Amino acid sequence: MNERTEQDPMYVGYLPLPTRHRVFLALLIPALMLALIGTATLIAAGQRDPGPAMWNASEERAWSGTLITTPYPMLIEDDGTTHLIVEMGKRGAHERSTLGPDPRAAEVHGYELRRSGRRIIELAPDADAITITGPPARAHTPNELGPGTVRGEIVDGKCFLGAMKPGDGKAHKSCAILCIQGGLPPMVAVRDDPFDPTPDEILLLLVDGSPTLSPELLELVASPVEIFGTRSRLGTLGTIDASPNDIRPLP
Amino acid sequence: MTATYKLVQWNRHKRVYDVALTLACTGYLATFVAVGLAMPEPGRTVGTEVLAMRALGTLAIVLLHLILIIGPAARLTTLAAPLLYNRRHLGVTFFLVALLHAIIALGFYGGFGVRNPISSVLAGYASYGSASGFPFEVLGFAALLIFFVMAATSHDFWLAILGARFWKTLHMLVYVAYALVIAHVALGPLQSEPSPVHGVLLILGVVTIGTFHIAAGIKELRTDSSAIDADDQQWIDVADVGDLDDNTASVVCLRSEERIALVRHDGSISAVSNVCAHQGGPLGEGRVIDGCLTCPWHGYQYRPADGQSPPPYTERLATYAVRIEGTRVMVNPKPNAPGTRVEPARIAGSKESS
Ligand code: HEM
Ligand code: FES
Repeated sequence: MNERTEQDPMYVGYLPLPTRHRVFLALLIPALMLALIGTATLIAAGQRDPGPAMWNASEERAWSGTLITTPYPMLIEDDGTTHLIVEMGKRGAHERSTLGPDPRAAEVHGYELRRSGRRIIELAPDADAITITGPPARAHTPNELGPGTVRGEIVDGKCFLGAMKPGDGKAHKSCAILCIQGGLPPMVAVRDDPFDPTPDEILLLLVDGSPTLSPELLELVASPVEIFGTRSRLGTLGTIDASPNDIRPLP
Repeated sequence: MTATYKLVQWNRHKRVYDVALTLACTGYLATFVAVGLAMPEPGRTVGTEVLAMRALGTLAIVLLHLILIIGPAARLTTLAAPLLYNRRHLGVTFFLVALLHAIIALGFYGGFGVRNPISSVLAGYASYGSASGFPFEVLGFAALLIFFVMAATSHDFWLAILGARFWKTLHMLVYVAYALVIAHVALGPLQSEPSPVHGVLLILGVVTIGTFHIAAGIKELRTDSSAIDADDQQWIDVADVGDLDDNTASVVCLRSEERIALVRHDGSISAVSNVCAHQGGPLGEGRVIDGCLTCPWHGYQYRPADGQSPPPYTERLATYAVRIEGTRVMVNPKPNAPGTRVEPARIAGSKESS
């Protein structure tokens, strides 16, 4: 036998609300609303700082300097300031017909992405976003710094420098892989603390000289890795060139 | 198909429920976005699309917890009945919020690239052996598929077509989907969020759901342990007349796991199946309203004497023979075919109301 403890009227959806249900709901609904607002505040305030990344997508600008295409399309201004060059969306600029093989003086139109001294120009959509203005003003040869080991995370440069905030981490992994597959620059956010929003250095990653990652290496994007390779400097851009076996996942 | 699914239709309670639900959801989303934009230093705020994705994803998981708590809460206290009454709208709202979250994730993380958005998010990487390489989006997708089937079949129309047993099994999949969502968060954003807030809230959520289900389970076990052995017996003694109040019902558990609802109404006692023909609500916890035994879940009604819903409705319950010996109520545990009329047992000395 089931004992009955209350004799008050039962709740039936299509009949008037009994008093004890009315009292209960009058307390419960505001309490639930407050709990919801509190939860939203707690989670929103607990989000990771995405770092000092900037994407000025509303202001088109022009830069001039020396245009080079290897190891990655980039513009080096006369003072050495170096900008990687990419297309809109998740695509690299390799297919631009105006990018010849040799270094040449050029003017580039587009939008600036910037983070901790690293820069990217997202080309304006028009066909003449790159105009060749003459022979190279100055030759640029990479300044080799020697072998070294770095720890950090492989990111896609465009998202990490400001196209997405945050543009790193596990939640963003599929996007980072898609970006690198589309020709955006693989970069290494060098850091000891995987959650540090401001990495010590952001290096262009080259695998045997090329900014293309094999399917095996793409799996390691957005995960902690250790890379042994040759570090160089090209203008203001740091690079690390490693062979595939020297890029290893960290536990 | 029966006419009965019309019974649970629009009414004032549902409108109040929906208004409160809409307010709660917009309040949550607005707070999340406002705090997200205000908190960090200028220039270091989370991107708006990511913020929207997170606001929707976390709202979805909060709503999912509410949905899963209401069931056991209603078994623990009849006070929770108004929350159960319109849970379907909560469920469908939850599904739409989760769907929007998934669409933004697919469009934003999967769009603008050289591959199909769906394949790049769901098959872009696949290191199933490691926490940092496990494709957590696939878990969210699998959960969303389950929620889709549940939302699509949630109307009583489908209950009538699929049959109560199949429908109920289908809806038990919600626990599989819940586990998938927990794994989706644990193997996804939790891998790159340093704040303990997400993890602690997630654990708190799982523990709360577990506690409610265990408490409701213990209550069920108690009811079952008072079960009466009906084997080989023609008539079983189930209650004293004095224990039953007029116009109420009570549950009798038989060892065979069958449950009977005893109804006292109009100076007589009747016995029908305890299982509501709608979604299996406990009729023995109901009351007699307008001469009909009324289910505490959605208010379906049955005449105590023949277990039939009054016209135009066509639901029927199995009935049981009842008689009174002295002050003891005796029930024949052999069910009659649903809708069979059984003469109610008159209580000596009580008078009929009409
Ligand atoms: C196709 C299905 C889904 C996809 C592709 C998907 C994708 C994602 C992605 C990419 C994130 C990371 C967002 C970020 O922090 O940047 C995420 C987080 C999340 N998802 Fe999903 N999801 C799906 C389904 C679901 C479902 C059904 C739920 C159910 C409740 C859900 C709940 C969450 C939650 C709670 C988060 C954590 C939000 C946060 O980052 O703080 N997801 N999802
Ligand atoms: S009315 Fe829905 S279960 Fe009884």
